Amino acid sequence: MKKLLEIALGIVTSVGGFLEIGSITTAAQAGAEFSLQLIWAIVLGGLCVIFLVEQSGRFAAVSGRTIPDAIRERFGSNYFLSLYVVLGIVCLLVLGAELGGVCIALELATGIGFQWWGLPAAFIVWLVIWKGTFGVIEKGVSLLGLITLCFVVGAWLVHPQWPQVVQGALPSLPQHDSSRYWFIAVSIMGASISPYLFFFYSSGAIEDEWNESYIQINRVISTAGMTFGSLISIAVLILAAVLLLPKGVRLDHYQQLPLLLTPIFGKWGFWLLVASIGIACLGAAMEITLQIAYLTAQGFGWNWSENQHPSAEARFSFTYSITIILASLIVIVGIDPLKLTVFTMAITAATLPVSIVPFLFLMNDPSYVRVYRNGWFSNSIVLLIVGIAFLLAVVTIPLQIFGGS
Amino acid sequence: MDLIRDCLDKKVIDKDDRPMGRVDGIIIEIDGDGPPRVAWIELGVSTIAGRFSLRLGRLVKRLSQHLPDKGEPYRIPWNKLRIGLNEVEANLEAEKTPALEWELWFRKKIIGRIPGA
Amino acid sequence: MNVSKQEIHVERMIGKKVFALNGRSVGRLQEIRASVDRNQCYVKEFVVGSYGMFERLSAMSIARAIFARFHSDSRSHGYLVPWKDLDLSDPNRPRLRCEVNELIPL
Repeated sequence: MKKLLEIALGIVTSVGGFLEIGSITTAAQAGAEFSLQLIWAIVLGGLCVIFLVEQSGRFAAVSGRTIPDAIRERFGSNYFLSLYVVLGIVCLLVLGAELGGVCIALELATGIGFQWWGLPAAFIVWLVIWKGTFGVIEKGVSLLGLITLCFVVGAWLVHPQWPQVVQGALPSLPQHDSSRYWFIAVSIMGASISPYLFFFYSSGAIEDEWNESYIQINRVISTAGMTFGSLISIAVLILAAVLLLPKGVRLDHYQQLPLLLTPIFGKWGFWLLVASIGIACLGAAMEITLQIAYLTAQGFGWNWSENQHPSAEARFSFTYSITIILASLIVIVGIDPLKLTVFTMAITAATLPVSIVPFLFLMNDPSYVRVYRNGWFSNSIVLLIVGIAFLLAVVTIPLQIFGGS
Repeated sequence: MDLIRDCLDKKVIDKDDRPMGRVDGIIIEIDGDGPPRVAWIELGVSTIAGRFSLRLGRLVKRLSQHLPDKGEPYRIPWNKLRIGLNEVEANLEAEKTPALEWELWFRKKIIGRIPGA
Repeated sequence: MNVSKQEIHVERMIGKKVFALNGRSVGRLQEIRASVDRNQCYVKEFVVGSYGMFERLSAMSIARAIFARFHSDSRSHGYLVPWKDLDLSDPNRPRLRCEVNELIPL
């Protein structure tokens, strides 16, 4: 019974914590510009992330180590430092975008410009991490994030052409504006296969003290959680396709976001949208802040845990504090959160290989995963994901130039 | 035992399971005609930087002159160590060694001064 | 006569090319094997060559797959070099003290 409850809670927190500004923006832009055609990119990204998240959880449960721990131990400090610099910069920019998402929600709610909310939002993120435990952050905020299910309800209520929705799940070639189409596809993949997501998942497994008995639970949580989460992204795409595309609204400004829900729910739709974006981005901001601190502490062998007092792990606490301050500067200087989001999703895609290649080795290392090594099927999937990652890395920059807004 | 696979970059914990850092370097000593002896492990930012490039290591050491640990890496003699599976156990108390000098400095000067720490 | 001890940083030696007596590279240094004797740890041998890198990454199955696909069987993918057969007077350019054909292939 206890395990069933854990599974249920794990799925719920995965669903509630899945959506963030990157997945909202890329899915909405995809729907607004290419109707239901790009659903396959969300499906493909979702499938990749299911495998990577499951393997991250399995690795942590069996070895008692996180993926960044093992990357430093197996690949050495030079590889780790390269990964750290690249991922640190990308995650900081993504964090700026997520914090910007919180500030957009606050601007929509109050009318006060998003830049003014930069410091207060950063302070809230910092305060919850400073005072809260891992459970509060993971479960509390993610449970609140279930409000994003309003997108699923909305997508049902707009009565899309369901056969076309199913058809959109299969890859297709663009009928117009090819470079823009592929750019958005790449951005969706970058929003789905975010390295911070599966690194954070392995850190979370250690925080929750998972062991071998959690292997089946992990499989269920990662599969169901990421699947349902992807369905919410697809719901956002459907809403944009049905409500924005016919009106020629391209979603290049965050003021247009309420148009996703107000036609269905009226004034309630506005507040649902504000709450959804605010809570989803708040949760994501906390996760990314913690992940940057986890990556630093794990790579350099410091004491770390969200369940200890800050003074017991001073360097870890200092790292997440400095991180959130730096991210708030990105918001305060007034960089458009929507444009930053699209840019960061694309560069996340470009930097995927450095994060994913180690899985090929670590998930077959008996000194870590013992008998729970990858079979030939999982290894083939990881190899395929590595191939997709390299392809994304190669095409992202040219597409950013020719297809980015 | 494989020095690089089993020892280098592994987490170092003290006798109370407290993290001390990671094995950033290993020093072997050649003395006369005998086999090289594994003498110390090294912990320190300048050691990691030196692996990336010697010039970077020297720069980090020079810039660290005014910092608490003066940029000097901390060496632990081999006879104080036990090599476990993917970690190294040092027969020491972490807070009594220079390994946690930075941790204690951050605790005292910054984090400890914030309410709720 | 006071002979000073030479200290060598092992972590800086990883990946350095090892040279044969004729000046040709025999591969890169990938691992150092040591053994414990009376509470002291001594270097036993050095692992040189690409197989050694895959061993270090616990990826021998990947190595075998790659080398079976791209190399002939007769080519050696690395060597074990006993400690006395490697001259470390210049750690940036380790040199063999013996002929290559005297080494044990991986």
